Formats: sequence, structure tokens, C-alpha cells
Amino acid sequence: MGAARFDRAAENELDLSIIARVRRGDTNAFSELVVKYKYPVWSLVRRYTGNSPESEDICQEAFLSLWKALPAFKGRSRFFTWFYRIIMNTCHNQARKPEMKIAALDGGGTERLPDLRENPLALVERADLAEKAGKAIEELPDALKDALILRNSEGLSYSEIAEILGISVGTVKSRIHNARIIVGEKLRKLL
Amino acid sequence: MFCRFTENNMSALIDGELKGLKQSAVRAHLRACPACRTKYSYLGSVSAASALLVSDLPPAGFEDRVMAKVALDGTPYFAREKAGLPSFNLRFAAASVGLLLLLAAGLVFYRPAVRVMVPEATISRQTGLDTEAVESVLNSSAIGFATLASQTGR
Repeated sequence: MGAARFDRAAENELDLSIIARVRRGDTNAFSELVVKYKYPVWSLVRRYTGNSPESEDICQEAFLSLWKALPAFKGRSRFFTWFYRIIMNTCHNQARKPEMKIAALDGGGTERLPDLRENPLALVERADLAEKAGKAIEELPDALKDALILRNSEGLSYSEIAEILGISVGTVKSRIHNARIIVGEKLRKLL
Repeated sequence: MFCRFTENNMSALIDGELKGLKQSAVRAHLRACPACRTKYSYLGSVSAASALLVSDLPPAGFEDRVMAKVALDGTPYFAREKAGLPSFNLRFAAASVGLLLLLAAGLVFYRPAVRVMVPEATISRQTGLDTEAVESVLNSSAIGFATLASQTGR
């Protein structure tokens, strides 16, 4: 826990130094941010949109929003929580667009990399379960979905999720719990 | 009563977010209550199933496409800072200072108009008009001065 906290602090220091360079007009520094955050952003957007074909557009939009918003970043919160807020907002905005088809049903792309030591049947069953869980999460109300996705995909702590979503830790706790109850109910019907 | 408390804290326990006495209390209750234990186990499975979703990787060339978009859309935003142009606050401050300087200059250089009363007889003598004509011209406001000037050629 202490080490994790230290890592976050060190990461934030690194982010702040990159941001300072970006603010001085160093575009290459921004590409460092893109490289650093492309995996978490991609993972978050893929989960949020249920592997929609528009995932890449949404990720690009999130980075573009970051680029535009960067001068407004005052450093009052840690960079990654601030950026995650931008990503979530981008996902919400895109999801509201009528042409945006969020389809979690095909399961394509959101899959665990196969481990050849495992039983193929177990792999298929697990992929099936993952697909159904993805569908159930996809249908959650936004407030519950945001909290659960941040917890599941990024393994963020409740306090980090609270910071990103601008809610209390207690609310995060109840949202994640309620989300799991609902997902559980849906899985029970689907399986 | 304690079942309710335990249920509300199950997810937090699964996520390692429950500490101290709360954690001990919930664990103790789970050991003692089969119904809560079943719920906890089920919730753990749901949590594990949700966590099975592992995303694929961003497609090749992803960051190049992001940077191309940024270069197209956002460069002027930072170019302003790079070029050393003042920010909005600085420009506002500069405008305020300019306004203050203008006001100060106005106060320093302002000279109120002084009306010099010259007897009509003197004007009459200097212009060659009779005093009645001078009086009527002077009474007809500022235009009168222009008329007077045009009549006298001065």
C-alpha cells in the first residue's frame, strides 16, 4: 500500500515534468504522455464501449481533449485522476451520440490472452463468461458502470475512483457493490 | 441486522478496501453466518467474472494517429505560450495599467477653459463694429464668434 502510494506520487511527479515541457511548446513531450497512457486509455475505453468499432476514435478524442485541456490543469489533483475524468467524460459524450453503437455483445477484442497450459474447454467457458459479464456491465446505469469499470479495468482504489468521479468513498463503495449485485442478477439469467 | 452491515461491506472486503475493526467484524460474521457466506462467495464470483475481461492492445500506429490529430487541431493552442504571447490575465493587467496611465495623463494635462471677459467697447474698437452689433453677435453663442471672425476677417 505504501509502495503503491509512493509509485503514484512518483508517477505524478513524472507526469508533471512532462506537462511542464508540453506547456513550453514541446509537442514531443505530449507524445510521451500518449505512449505512457495509451494502454490504460485503450483498456478503459474498450471496456466502457464494449469493444465498439469507434473505440479508437474515442481514444483519440480523449487525447485530443487532454491536449486542449492541459493549460487548464492546475495540479490540484493528481494528473492521472484528472485525465481519467476526461476519458470518462469523453466516453459519456460519445455514448450519447446517436450514431455511436455500443455493442458489447460480440466480445471481440475483450478477451483474455489464451494460456496454452489451460484446458481448452475451460478457456471457452471462461471466454463465454467474460462475454456475458461484459454485456451485463454494459447495461448498467452510467454511475454504477463508471465505478465498476474503473475498479475492474484499472484496479484503482476506492479513494482514487472517488477522486476521479468527484464522489465520496462511501458512494464508490455502494456503487461498486450495487453494480456487482446487478451484474450477478443478470449473469444468473444469462447463464 | 449484522447481516445487512456485512452485505453492504462485502464488495469492499473483496476489493481489500475494508480495514481494521470493520474488516474483523465482517470476517467474523461471515464465519458465523452461512447465508452471508453464500452471498459473499457469489459476489466474489461475480467480481472474478467481471475481472476476466482483459482488453486487447491498441492497434499499431495508434500514437502516430493521435499525434497527427493533435498537430492538426491543437498546435496553435500551445504555440501561443511558446511564442511568449501574454496570457489573458497578463493582457488584462496590461490594459488596466494603460487605462490608469491615460487617466493620470488626463489629470496632469487637463486645463480648464478660462473665460476672459472683454468689454464690448474694446471689441468694438478693435473690430470696427458698433457695440450693438458686437453684443448681438456675442449673445448668439459660439457660432457668433465664427460670424464675428468672418465679418472682421480676423
